[in-house]
Amino acid sequence: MEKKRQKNRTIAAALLFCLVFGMGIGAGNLQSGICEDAVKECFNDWYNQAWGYFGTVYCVMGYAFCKKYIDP
Amino acid sequence: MMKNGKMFRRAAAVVLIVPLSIFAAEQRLKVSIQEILSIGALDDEAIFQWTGVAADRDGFIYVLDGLDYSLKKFDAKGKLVKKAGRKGQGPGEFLAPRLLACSEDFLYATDQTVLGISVFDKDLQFKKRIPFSAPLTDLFVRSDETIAIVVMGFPGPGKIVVMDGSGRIQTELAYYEKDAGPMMDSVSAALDGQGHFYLAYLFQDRIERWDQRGKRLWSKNLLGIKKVEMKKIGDYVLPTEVCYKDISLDDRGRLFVLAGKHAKNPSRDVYVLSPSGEWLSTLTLPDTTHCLYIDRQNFLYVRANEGITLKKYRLIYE
Repeated sequence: MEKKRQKNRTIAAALLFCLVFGMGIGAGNLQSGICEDAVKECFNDWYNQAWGYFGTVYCVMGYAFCKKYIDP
Repeated sequence: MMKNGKMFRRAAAVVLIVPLSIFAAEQRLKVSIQEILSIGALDDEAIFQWTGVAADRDGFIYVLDGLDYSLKKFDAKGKLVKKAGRKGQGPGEFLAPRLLACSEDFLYATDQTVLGISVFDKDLQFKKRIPFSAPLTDLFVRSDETIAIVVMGFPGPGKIVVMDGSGRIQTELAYYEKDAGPMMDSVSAALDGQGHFYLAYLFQDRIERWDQRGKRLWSKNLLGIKKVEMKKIGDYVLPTEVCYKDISLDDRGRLFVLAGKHAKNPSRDVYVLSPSGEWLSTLTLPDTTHCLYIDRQNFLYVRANEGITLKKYRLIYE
């Protein structure tokens, strides 16, 4: 039961994380500092950079969401 | 599998009284919780990862499910009554559903990637989208003609906007007067019956009460945090440690503030304050949550199992 619980947690967190920043991520990245790593990738993403200010706001919104909902 | 699910729900439905304080000797009010409903389990598909919740006077519970791109309606016993929405940016669709609020007749939902507020009726039929041109970080609805939103002001200061059902702005409250850096103005907010706003700062040790004319009535810091942890990420210096995650009001106007990283029990400790900002009690939830929601009947809704489960508790005061 605990193994299944852990698996579900990991999958759910990974999927939600993808939703936040619209990117793929391995379960191994789900640890302290995940939001910082994700927003850095988001800032560096060419698509978000192409959107300029709106791309930055998108990343910052995702960071706030990640800090509130996901960060342990 | 189904049998296990039923057993889990039955076990979860057993009345649970949780003794709740880390400051028992000092607290002026003892608050405990009694579990009365649990929706969603690890081995069922009721909820995949809920983000927003609202409840109406008839006891129906509405949930935004981030992994299912949907809005769900549950009855008072936790049975799924209806589900609406799918992945997309069209009317009634979601990409990253976030905030949910309800009035007597309608539901108001936001999506992180779509500007504006989507309005549904209680049968989950999409009715309209209220336009707004900036991203929102909080939403609360007093009536269909009084909708308050917290607007992210990145990189400048944020504000609270009160608007009517058509999106016409009635008042604006600039609650953060100086630009202290990106995201330092991020808040969760609550609105009381007298029109006062309560703000809990995400990255600062500040809880405040404001009147509608933009006057700050009081400001409290409960955690004793003097310095905000910051980190340079890309071209920006961003705060990294969460002080307060959410805020909600009970039926007597008491504040329930969910504490973040600095608390003894991060994402589980809830500070209960009087309307004048006095600390009354600390409540420790059995599981971590990202949000607090107290409905009009004074039931508390929080998260468990990383968002797979929604818990409904009765608040008990002694």
